[in-house]
Amino acid sequence: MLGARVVVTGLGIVSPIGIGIPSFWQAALKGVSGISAIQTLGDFPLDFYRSKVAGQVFDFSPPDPGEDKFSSRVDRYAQFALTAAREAIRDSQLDLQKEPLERMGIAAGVGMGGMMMGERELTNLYDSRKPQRVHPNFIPTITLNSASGILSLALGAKGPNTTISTACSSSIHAIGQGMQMIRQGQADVVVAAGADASITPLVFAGFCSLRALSTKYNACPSKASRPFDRGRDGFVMGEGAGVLILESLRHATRRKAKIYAELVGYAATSEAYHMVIPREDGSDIARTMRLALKDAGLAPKQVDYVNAHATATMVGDEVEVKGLRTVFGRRADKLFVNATKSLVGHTLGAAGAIGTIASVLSLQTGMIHPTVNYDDPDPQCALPGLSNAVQQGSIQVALINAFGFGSNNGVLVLKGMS
Amino acid sequence: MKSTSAPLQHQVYQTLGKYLRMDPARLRPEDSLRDDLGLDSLQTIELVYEVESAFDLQIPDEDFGRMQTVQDVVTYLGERTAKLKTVPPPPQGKPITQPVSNKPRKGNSRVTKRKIS
Repeated sequence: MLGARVVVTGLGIVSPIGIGIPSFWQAALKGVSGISAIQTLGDFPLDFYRSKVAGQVFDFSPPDPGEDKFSSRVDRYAQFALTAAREAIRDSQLDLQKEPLERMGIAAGVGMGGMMMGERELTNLYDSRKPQRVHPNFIPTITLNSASGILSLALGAKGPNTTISTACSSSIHAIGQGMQMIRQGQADVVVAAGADASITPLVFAGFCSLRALSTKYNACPSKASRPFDRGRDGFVMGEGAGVLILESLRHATRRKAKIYAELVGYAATSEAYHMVIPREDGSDIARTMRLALKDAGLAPKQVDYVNAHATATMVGDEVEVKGLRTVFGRRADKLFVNATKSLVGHTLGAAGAIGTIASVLSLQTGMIHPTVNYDDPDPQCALPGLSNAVQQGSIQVALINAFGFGSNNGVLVLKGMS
Repeated sequence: MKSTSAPLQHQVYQTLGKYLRMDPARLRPEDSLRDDLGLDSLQTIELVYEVESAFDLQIPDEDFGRMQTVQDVVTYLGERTAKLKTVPPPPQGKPITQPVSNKPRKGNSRVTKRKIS
């Protein structure tokens, strides 16, 4: 382990099963599915989309422009990030008036970014053929760092301000890089975020064309996201944001902060294999988990719980379990395991952050949310520690997996404070 | 082959040849898309996308398993177009999106049947 110890002191979330940590966690423990028939495409006809379900956020009130000056001018995903960040800061009880803001950094994970405005402006331009009609705010919105930008403006954070885009693993790497900023002394506090809101006509069509999405459960959306279940047939797109306040242990202790957990390990690897297919023996996934545990100074036998990447594709889930068995051997049968995507779908850039939030809450409460729709365990990837009911146990160490298109993997390790 | 018309077969070979960047005359009916032509799952999806465009139809995920060889593709499209009662006209020079395979016909050691992660 290098440098300063890093702890989690605040959480915030915008998700298809709840806006705000209390409602998210309550729904998660009840096994509420956030998957519903698609509405976010507006009046765009759905008829020819193969998949017609998604994890959508309803009842979202955009941030008050009176409080956050530029918030009405950023895309939905960045508004999600801002709302979650405001909650996380409140939760951490950081006093932004007193904090040395040069020591506060931002690390955001974003997969698709401002595609809503992107699609709208593209259509405008191609229809009108008038370049002068492209909105002046198009470029600041479409750049992938518009979320980390708006967070730094809103919070006044003047330390490192970075965005990581590694597809489905973006926010695991954002949290990991935020942790490194603190370890290396570049910041005392890092607002680590993950956000995406790209259930748009073009992006959704793209995922449909990639044959990556579930299509069998269009008539019963709540059944569509079913990681590790024999009946799974692809992932369900989701949208949302998760934010964690990372802080050096010293800084948190000095201000007597409530500490949720310690972030003790992080690893990032590449499979150098295929743009969208994981290496089938799970060896690179296993290697990443081992590196993260080594970084944490922990042995596999000390891990109690794994928040799996588990998108519910046929192969992805199987490969992840192969990797788990490689690392944990027989202990794989003793681990608690769950898949947060069963509740909210695959929120892309937000997925790692939302999975990490669920893990932090599990460390705190000893409750492991259900993997909903895990009704008929697939023998190829069944684990005793998976359940479609809530589980309870003593959890000291949690491991969070995320794997992304472009052949990249990220793993975090969290440790309870007791 | 029994119900497949020559124009349809020709059109399938043209579409495959264009996608694979190879002379359609070199394609053999028994060629496996995966083992002989070296297509991984994403490339198979791209090929099906081109076929859908050329024949103006949608191919559901569950039908992918029926298209293991070049002849399977011809047979499958023969059935689908027979249901439509007409063979659509050949594609009007629509550009193929992303040619991919420059792999040798045989001995591809990195062949995979994996689906999306």
